[in-house]
Amino acid sequence: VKASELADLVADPGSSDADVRTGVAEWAREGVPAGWRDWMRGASEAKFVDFQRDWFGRLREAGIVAPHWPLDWGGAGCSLSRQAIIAEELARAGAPQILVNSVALFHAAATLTHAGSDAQRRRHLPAILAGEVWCQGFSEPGAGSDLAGLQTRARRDGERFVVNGQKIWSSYAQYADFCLLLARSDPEAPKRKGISFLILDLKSAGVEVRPIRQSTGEQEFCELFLDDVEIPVDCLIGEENEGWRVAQQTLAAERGVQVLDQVERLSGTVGRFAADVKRVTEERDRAAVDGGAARQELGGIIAEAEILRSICHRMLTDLERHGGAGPEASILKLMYSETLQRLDDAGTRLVGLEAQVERPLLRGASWESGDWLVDYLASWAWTVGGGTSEILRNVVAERVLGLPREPEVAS
Amino acid sequence: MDFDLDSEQKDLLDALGTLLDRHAGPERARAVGAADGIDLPLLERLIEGGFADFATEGAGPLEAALAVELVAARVGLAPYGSRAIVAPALLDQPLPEVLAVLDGAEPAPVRYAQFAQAFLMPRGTEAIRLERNEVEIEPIESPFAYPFATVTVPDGAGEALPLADGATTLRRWQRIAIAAEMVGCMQAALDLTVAYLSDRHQFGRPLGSFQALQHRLAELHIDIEGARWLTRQAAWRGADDELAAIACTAAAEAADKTVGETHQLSGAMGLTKEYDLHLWTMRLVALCQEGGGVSRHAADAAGRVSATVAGEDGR
Repeated sequence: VKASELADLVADPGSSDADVRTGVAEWAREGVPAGWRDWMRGASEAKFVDFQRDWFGRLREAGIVAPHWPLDWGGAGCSLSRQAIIAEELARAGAPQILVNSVALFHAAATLTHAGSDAQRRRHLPAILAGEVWCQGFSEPGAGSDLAGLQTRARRDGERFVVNGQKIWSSYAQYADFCLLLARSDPEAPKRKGISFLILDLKSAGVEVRPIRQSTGEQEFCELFLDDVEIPVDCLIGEENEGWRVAQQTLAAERGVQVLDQVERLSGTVGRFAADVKRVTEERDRAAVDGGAARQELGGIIAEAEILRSICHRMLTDLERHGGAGPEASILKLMYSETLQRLDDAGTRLVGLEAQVERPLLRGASWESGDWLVDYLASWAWTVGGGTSEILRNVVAERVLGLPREPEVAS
Repeated sequence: MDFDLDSEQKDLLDALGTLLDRHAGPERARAVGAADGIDLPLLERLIEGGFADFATEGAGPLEAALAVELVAARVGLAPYGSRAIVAPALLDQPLPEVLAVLDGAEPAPVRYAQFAQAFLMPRGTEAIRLERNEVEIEPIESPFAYPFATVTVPDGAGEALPLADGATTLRRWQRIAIAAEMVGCMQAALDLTVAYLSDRHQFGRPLGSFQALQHRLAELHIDIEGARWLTRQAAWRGADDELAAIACTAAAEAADKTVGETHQLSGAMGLTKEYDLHLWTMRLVALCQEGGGVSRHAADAAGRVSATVAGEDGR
């Protein structure tokens, strides 16, 4: 299947789910670069970024780079269940993930679609499909779980904002063109009422981006230093001081779709774990490796991943039928993150001291490299980033079980 | 065993602490890690200071285990457990300064092997001593915790120690050394995390004031304390076979949990290279696997217990 044929098939409202599934699977045989895991091992950052760009381009040609976007904006307008099918087939084909463009494709697009002006959408949505890179400027050194406590200041000065402050944990900011920025525009208002959501052009004067070295060896996260950065008022998304609401809506809406993709990809990691169970129990003549226990752990993990998948699909069906992204998205993210971490922990324990051996970093594989200790370390990005597991459990306790909220300290 | 330290033990740990204040700690560990990963000057200081030959100082394995705990907590990057606990129990003077312990003859990563003058290895029921020139040593790139090298032992190489049950003796003292080192690392990782959660404010209060996090830290503390007292007791009882296996099982299980919990509770800081947490957690990941890992420790503990119950010989 050629890329253009798949694009037509996906865009055709008359095509069936089964056709799309077959189409993606057939396209992927040629479309997914064979051996990409080999040539991304030990690759330079430049090579990694080129590869990400190339992969993004291939998906775009095949019409499946943005299945979740509306048709008007160049997406495929797919239902959630069809998005799941595409994600599943790509995962099965061992496709690389979209990493560098992920904030653009998911967070920025959702924010602009829901709350952006027409001019902002026209300016950015086509550009994002063309490869514009975005990063997120949400967390700060003093505002992590308590995101609403953020202190970066956006002072209104006529037709512009003047921004000062510091952002952190901003993935791929070193390659980004724009940043989704949350900043305090009314320091007098209660903390959730004084935040504005701005589009920051990272080429602006006064912006400094510094990568942070992680314990995995990667430098995915960055710090952003903002020193008297000027942002025109037309870069405001939604109303002034209404940024918290905008951020909530869009994050909740996107959490579900992105996790769906990850849940489908989990089968690849389970497969690597299964292969290692086989290898370790066969190859090693060690009384230390208890084959029975390893297989039992594998069985448990397979079951857990299947449970996660089915719950995921059930929730997505609910979402599709009843609309709205409620606490379900939080539950999914929580379950996925915890399952992933348990799996990477099991892999690290399984291979034993082999996990200590450094192999050249498999770039772009993130938490799916098969180097268990690296993946285990990277899994904390999931249980911490985008709402820690602890915060998500609070969400479940308060919004699903209806338990009373934790008393809040006035600020 | 008296669970309170006596005044001599306290003095010993005070003196050792003073030495470590000067010659160990995270900053020193980072410098050593950036070089070859082994702090030989520290090891020499420990030996010269009388912190490696406790029997000659009127002390014994319990004191050695206490010292190994403390050195690990202060990230002293010296192969100290094998020197202070394993070597005196199995070898005659003069003891090799750097002793590496192999789990078996099969080529596998061995801690500090590229720096070792001698090796000990179980073979059948015997403990085998190998000199450096008797084995092949291939250093491994390993940025996470310790310097490792793959050691290949030719068939039949080395000399059996004149011990009745050498393999078991080696394994039980190795377990004390590993468990004590794990306890030290766990305590340091917990202390760092408690300090972080006490300082770090979110929602207008210290994170550590949230009950959901307090409970997790409390449980971790209990697991670490359990591993600590089991390990000390096993050392005091001369590395009793069953106790040593149980202590190492408890320590390895607690270590796995400590790594997971301290990283999660440290948030994104825990993922960075600049934060000290990984200095202990990455060592815990390695120590958890040494000596065959928790499945081996647990299987041996269970084997001993069921043998006792059945009234049979353990092996």
